[in-house]
Amino acid sequence: MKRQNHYFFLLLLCLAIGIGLVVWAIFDSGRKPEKYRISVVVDNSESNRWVPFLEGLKRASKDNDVALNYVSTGKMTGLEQEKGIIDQEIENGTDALIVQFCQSSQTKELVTDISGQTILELVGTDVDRDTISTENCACVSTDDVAIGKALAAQIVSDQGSLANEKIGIFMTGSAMKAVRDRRDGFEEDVRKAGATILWEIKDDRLTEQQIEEKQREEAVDILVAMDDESLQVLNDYLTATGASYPLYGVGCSDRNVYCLDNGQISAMAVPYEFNMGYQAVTRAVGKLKNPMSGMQNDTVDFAMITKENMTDEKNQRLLYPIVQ
Amino acid sequence: MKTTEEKKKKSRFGKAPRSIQSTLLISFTAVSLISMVFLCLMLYGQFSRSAVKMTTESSSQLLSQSATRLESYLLSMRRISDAMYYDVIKDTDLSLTEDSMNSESNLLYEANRDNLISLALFSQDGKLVFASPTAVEKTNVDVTKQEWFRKAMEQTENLHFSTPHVQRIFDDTTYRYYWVISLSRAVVMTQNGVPGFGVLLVDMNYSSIDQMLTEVNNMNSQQYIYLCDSSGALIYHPKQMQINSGLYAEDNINAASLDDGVHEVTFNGEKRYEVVNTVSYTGWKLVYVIPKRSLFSGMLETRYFVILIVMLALFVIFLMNQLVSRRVTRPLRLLSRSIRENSPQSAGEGNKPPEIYIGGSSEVQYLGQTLQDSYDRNYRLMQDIVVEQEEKQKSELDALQSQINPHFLYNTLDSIIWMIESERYKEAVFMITQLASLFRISLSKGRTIIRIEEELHHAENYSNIQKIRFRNSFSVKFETAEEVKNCCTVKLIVQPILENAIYYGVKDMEEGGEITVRSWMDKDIYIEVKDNGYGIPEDQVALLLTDNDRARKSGSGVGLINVHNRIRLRFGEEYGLKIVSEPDEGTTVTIHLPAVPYTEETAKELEEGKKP
Repeated sequence: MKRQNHYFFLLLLCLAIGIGLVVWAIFDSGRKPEKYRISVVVDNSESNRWVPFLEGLKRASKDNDVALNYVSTGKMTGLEQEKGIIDQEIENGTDALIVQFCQSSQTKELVTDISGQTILELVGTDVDRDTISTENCACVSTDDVAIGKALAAQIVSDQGSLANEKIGIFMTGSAMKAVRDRRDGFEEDVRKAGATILWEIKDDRLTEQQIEEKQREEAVDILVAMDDESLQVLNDYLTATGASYPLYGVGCSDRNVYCLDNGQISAMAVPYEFNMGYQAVTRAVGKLKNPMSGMQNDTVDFAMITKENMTDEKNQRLLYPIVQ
Repeated sequence: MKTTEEKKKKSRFGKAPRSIQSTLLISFTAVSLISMVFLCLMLYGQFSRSAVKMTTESSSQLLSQSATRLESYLLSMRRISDAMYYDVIKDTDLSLTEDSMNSESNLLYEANRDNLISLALFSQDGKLVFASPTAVEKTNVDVTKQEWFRKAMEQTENLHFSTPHVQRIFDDTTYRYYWVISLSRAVVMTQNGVPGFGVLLVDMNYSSIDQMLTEVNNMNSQQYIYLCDSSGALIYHPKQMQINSGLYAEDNINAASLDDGVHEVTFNGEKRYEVVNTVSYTGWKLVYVIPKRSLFSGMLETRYFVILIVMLALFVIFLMNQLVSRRVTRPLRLLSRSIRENSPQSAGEGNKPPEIYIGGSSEVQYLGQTLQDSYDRNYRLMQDIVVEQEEKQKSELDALQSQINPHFLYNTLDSIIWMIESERYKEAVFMITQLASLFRISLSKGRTIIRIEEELHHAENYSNIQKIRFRNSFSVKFETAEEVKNCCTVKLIVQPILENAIYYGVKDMEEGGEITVRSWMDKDIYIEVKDNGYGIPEDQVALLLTDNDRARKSGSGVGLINVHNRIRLRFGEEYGLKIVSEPDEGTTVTIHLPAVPYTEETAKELEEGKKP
């Protein structure tokens, strides 16, 4: 009987504790939860190339109810400048950072330092992904080698045999591992197809004049840009000179889409930047909500867009993510 | 074999049976819980139905308003198209009225520029006739291959609304592209006096529809409206980009086949309500999606409140059930306790019969009364048994004592006769004197309990008689501590031991036979009779105090076992004799007695059979 009485009082005690907890929960639920704050630091944030990415960030922020701080940056002069901006954001109490480094070298220490202070989601293959601890840090990026290979395949498909074809490659973000990976993937396949890489221009301040001079010195048959910015410069060069070369590249800005539409660009690999932005926020929020969980790297897809397939419904949404 | 009591304690499942209070408490609680769960389920069901009804009704209303706004918008677009066709194009030779046509077209455009991207007329072969606002046509664009153009030419009698697409007709050097919904129709137009077909295109700004529906969707994050055409192709969806990127999926193909009204569907494992409203003329479907989980979202406080009420109710129910069950079972518990306190084993002990609780309800009173009667009867029976036992014990003692007298008298008289016959009158007188003393002590006015001093004196009388009989062939020495003399003993316990020492120890010794009777106190009293005779074999020593049937060769006929039993019967099991013997060394018999000072009261109590 005594034992039964103990059970009974234990039950009443449990219920009393439960009632206390529920009363506390009722008062607590009246308070509006604070939104997570996620800061985004990318190189040259106002560039058109970030439009689909930013749209992805915004949509994910809305879906996950987080406050997004898209930090306004100009063209970064180096890692030190970017680190200063990141430190400022950490100091301001951001819950997570989405960062695209302006260069790939010497970033490992920086990544370790930042991920020790806050959650870090890297955009683009800026550091060797295998060396990143998935505790507080992860990458969302494209398969850049595959992009390079897809460009090569598209050229082979369009031009037929590449035997005796000379190709010139342009890169403005030459310090970026992503750009180097694209170049490597591309070079490997076009060389197999018989083409010759006559020259490469790696310059963060690429100009039409440089291209013109290079073409005068050693003319190539096909122009290939490994990033959006250099593709824009090549477009400017072709428009200004009236020259007609098969032009291929990687891009997503409205300027390049326009040139693709008017036929100046033969084909353009367009990464799903919207997905990149969306996934970056989603992963960061996932980690914030479950601090004990690890973080996962993501690879987003890309599409090879030509003038013919750019009117497909899916490609239209990829190329023109903003309703104007 | 388990006893009946043990069997009762275990139920058929091997567990101890529950108390009646626990059973009542569990039963009340179970009934309360079942009722409560049933009530909660009923209320939940009712609440769910009401919530669904209210939500679907309000969403239908919202959907209807949105459809009306959309229809109004589309009607205005159709009116623009009609105005262009009937007022500007039809029955007019366009080649002659180019200026007025452009002017009227521009006027219409300007009046609706917020909702329009462009107005344009194309000839049957896709050649641009006019456009508002004035714009340069893209090179390498063949409009006849565009869907809006093909549909207009395929079904000339209808107006056609396209799905949203990027307009790719006019060149914009600022690289801007516009998402539009194209309203196209086949028109009959006259150019240079030649009638022919053409296609009138009104490109509606998609952002107008997008904004219109986005405003509605901002009202609730989980419930949303989307728009699709009759084949299910999405026109507007708040998560359009996520769907295109494969990050989200929508039930649009199925929804397009649904009739107007509320439908309960399961999509991707999630239950949801889809309220469908068809937009007139276009066949577009406005779909309001209400995930079931959203019905109760934002009701966290209400949920907590309901949980709080349930827990409070449970608390009160448990407490009340406990109180009620205690109250109901109180008489039974009191009865049970009184029975437990007065177990059957103790029913006959004490001076009065045990009292059983009689109270509570009539049933419990009857039970208590019956048990009380039963206990009373048991008590009387037990009292009778006790009296019988005491009498039996006394008669047994008397029988044991009566065995002594004939033997002893026979032996003593035999010796006296022998002395008189041999004319040893002096010795005979001494013997008779000793015998008289011995009998006086033996009789002791019929008492069984005497002083140790008297008992030892009795033994001394006996030893004196025997020494004369056996011509002083042995000696007997008495060493008595003063403190033991005035203590109680059962009479005639030393003499039989002395007799055994003489007959089996020293009688046949040629010389030097010695017997020592020593008494002392060490908490209890010990009287030791020690001889230096032949001793007793070890196997026989063990039988001396246990075998009642041992035949005696000589002596008074009262064996050691007789003495042993008398001491134990009177004083308790822990007292009695202890025999130690070594062949050819002698035998020591020790009497162990409690140290009870002799008074009239103690002697009387011991006589009555009470233990010291």
